[in-house]
This record gives sequence, structure tokens and C-alpha cells, in this order.
Amino acid sequence: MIMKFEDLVKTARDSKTPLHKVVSNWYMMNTGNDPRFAESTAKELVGEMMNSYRSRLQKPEKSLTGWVGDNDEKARNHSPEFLSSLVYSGIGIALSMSEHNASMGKIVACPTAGACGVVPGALLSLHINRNIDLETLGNALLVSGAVGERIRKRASISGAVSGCQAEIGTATAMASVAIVYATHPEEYTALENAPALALKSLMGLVCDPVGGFVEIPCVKRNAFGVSIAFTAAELALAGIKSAIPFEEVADSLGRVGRRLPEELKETARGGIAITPTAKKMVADFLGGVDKKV
Amino acid sequence: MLLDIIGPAIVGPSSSHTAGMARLGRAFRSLFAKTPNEVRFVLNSPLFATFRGHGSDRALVGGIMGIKESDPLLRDSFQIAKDKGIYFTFEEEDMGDLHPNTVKINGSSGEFFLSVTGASVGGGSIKITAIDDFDTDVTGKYPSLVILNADIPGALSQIVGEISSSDMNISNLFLSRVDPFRHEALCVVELDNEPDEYLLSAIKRLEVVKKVSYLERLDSLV
Repeated sequence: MIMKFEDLVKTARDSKTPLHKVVSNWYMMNTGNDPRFAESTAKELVGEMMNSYRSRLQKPEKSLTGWVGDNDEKARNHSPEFLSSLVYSGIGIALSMSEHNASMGKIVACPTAGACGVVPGALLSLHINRNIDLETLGNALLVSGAVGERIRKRASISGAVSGCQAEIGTATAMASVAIVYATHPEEYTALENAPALALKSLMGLVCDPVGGFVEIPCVKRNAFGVSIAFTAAELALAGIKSAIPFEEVADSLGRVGRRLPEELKETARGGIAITPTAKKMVADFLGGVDKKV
Repeated sequence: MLLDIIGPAIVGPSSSHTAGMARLGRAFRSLFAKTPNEVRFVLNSPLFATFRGHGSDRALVGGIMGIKESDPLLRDSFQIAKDKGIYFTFEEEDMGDLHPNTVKINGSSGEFFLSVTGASVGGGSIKITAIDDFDTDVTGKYPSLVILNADIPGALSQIVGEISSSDMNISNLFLSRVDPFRHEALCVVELDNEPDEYLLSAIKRLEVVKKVSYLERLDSLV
């Protein structure tokens, strides 16, 4: 059943049904599966995010190339000078998840492995700093899933198809709506606007991974995604609206993605991936591998 | 689908280069019905260029031992394979127009040999494009029977008859002639549920059936 994200929010508002219930019923109508399955799976996935963060803290590993792996620890050892502790902690968690991913740790691909830090960064920071319980976070994750699903339908969530805007951009839009829903589930206008604001701010972002690996710039982009998600949630709660509604922004993302050249879509043939420094790093890594084999 | 967006929980770093590769390995393991002790992984050039940095190598080796894409053991698969005495190699081949992330898995165990070609097509989803000499189009999203049968009237009806008499529902069915000279056709049956041993052996016993391979459902959400 085709429903825009705005329609889902409108249904919740008009029927006085919590938005996550509207989303799980929408899931039922699309798949024929029990809506309670969607709710329990979302809660389990928040649990998986938690496990993943815990195992990263217990056993931090370097990435397969060795290029990343200690950024999260550096972030943890610093106390924020400019950002709130909620936002800063979310940034640190995003780095952890993303570095865990780069070192073959188990993560939740939300919506993709490359962008796996943003949503957990927002959710787990709310849990740790605001004591928001797992059930509420599971519901917020489900609502964020509706935002991601609509972007997938109208554009793409794959860096190879639409660039990084489709990965970190989607994750950031999802995180922004999750933040609003976990804290203000009945602020309907903010729920509609946060993901549109977030997505617009990352429109056009290219996918230019050094050597093609999910490390540089991916790990740090996850951190920035969290800060943008909190900014979008904050602005939306202030009553600031996106002049362009969410679904039209998602359409635009798809259009921009199609116009992006192949060089800027995960092929490592453009952007920072072809800088002299990047080329040297890749050559050094591949040379090292050959020696080992 | 909504739940594919917020999950699944998998071992990183890349759903297509790591999780999808583990799934391709598992597809081989399932079709071969045992763990091979010698495997040659032939990687399409674009995949070969980045496979080590994505852990595709460890994922493939883990997969052929049946380690799931959600299992952190994937990281240690080389050591596990060594302990089990499994010998494996990786090589590059320019596969032309095939999907960039295509890998051909040639495995053997004693006198048994199987070749499975598949591609990781994004988000951890896979497509098995060839089994031995036969072109296929199997996703592993359903428990699937891959049947090589005689290309004669009534063959399909006998196969479907066995399936319906065991009360199984067919979700999708594909039949294609593969060799007009040897009168062979390939039938892929995707089921709603796992078939039991009884059904598998009943199909194997049919005279029109030359070979049956079973591919377990490879998708899991959490």
C-alpha cells in the first residue's frame, strides 16, 4: 500500500494512534506479516545495537587496513568543549559503531553497514544520557524505518546507486525522526519536518571511499551525521519547517543521485579517493598484503 | 521492506562485500551438502581489487563452513579453516559483462566436485547465476530445490505432484530447457517452508529427475 511519510503522520494525528503503531500496521498491509513482529524486531535490533557497542568497548580492533580504529577512543578521552554531552556522546557512539564495522565487528546495517553509526549514535545516546527505555527506542527505530523505506522507494539507500547522500543522508534523516519520536511522540509537525531538514542538508553528498573500503571518509561521516540529526530535530522542535516537504526532498535525492557520475558512486575513482595521499595509502596497503600472502 | 531498512545485524564492513560474500559461501555449502576440503575462489576483477580490505576473503571462507553473516566468528574464519584442514586459494578473472561482484566457487571433497557462481547484488542480497554448467537465477530468499530433470512431457507435473502430496506450498517456480540434445531441463522450486528429508528423497527417486540440490533459506533478519 503506497503511503507517503506525510500520510503516515497524518493518519497518526487524525486517528490519535501512536505513529509507530501506524507504521507497524502499514508494514502489515505491505507484507501480510503480524505488526507485532515489526515492533518486536525493532526492539531486538536496538538490543543488537547495544550489544554491538558493548563488544566494541570490550575489544576494540583496528580496521582491516589499519587506517581507522582509534578515533572513538580519542573522542571518549576528550570532554566536549562546544557540544552538549548528549550530542557529543552520540558522536562518539557513531565512531565506535562505524569503527567496529570497519574491523569486521557485528553491527546493525541501519540502513546500510557503511552508515551503521548514525541511528545507534542517536538512540544509544538518548538511552545513556536521558534514560529513555528500550521499548521507546524500538518504537522510534520503527518510525525511522518508515522514513528510510520511503527514501528507498523514491530514490535509493545505496552509495553505488545514489552516492553517500543515500547512505549517510538517509541514516541522518532516520536518526532525526527517531530523536523527535523518542522524546516528543506527538509533535507531528516536527516529525514531518526533521527528516526533510536533515536530508536537504546532505543532498548531493558523494561516495568517495579511499581504496573502495568502508573506512575513509565513512567512519567520520557517521559522526557528522549524528550532529546533523540532532540539529534537524532541534530545529524541527523549534517549529522551523522545511519549505519543501519530505517526500519531494526524497525525490530530489533520487534525481541528484542519477545525475552523479559513476566516479562519485562508490567506485573509488573520484573525490578524495583519487588524491595523492589516498593513492599512496592504497599502494602501501596492497603492497603489505602481497608480502603477507 | 521496512525491516530490511532498520536491519539486519551483520558482520561488517560492507553488506555487499562481506555479508553477501558470506551468503554466497553458505549457498555453496548448502548446495554441496557438506564442507569442502579444497576450494578455489575465482573473483571477478572489480571484486578482486578490493576484496581483502572488505574482508570478502574471510567472509567467503567462513560461508563455505556454514558461518553466518551475523556471526562474529567470520573474522577468524581463516584460522578455523586451517584447524579443519581446509585448503583455499583466491584468484582473479576478468568475467566481462557479469555483475562486478561475481565469484565462482569451485570446491571439492574427495571425488565430489561442485562449482557455484553467484553475485552479491547489494544490501547483502545474492543471486546464484550458475550451478556447475547450468545457468540459474536463485536468490536464496526461500528454501529452494534446484532440480535437473528430463525434458519430457509430464516431468514437471510429477515433481510438483510430490511437493503437493507432502503438503508444501510453492512460492515461485522456474523451469527452463538447458540442453535440447541431452533433453535436460532445470527446474527451480522456491518453497514457503523447509522441505524434509522424505520429500527430498521422494523427488530424487523420480525417474524424470537426474539430480536434486537443496539450497536452504539464506536470509535472516536479526
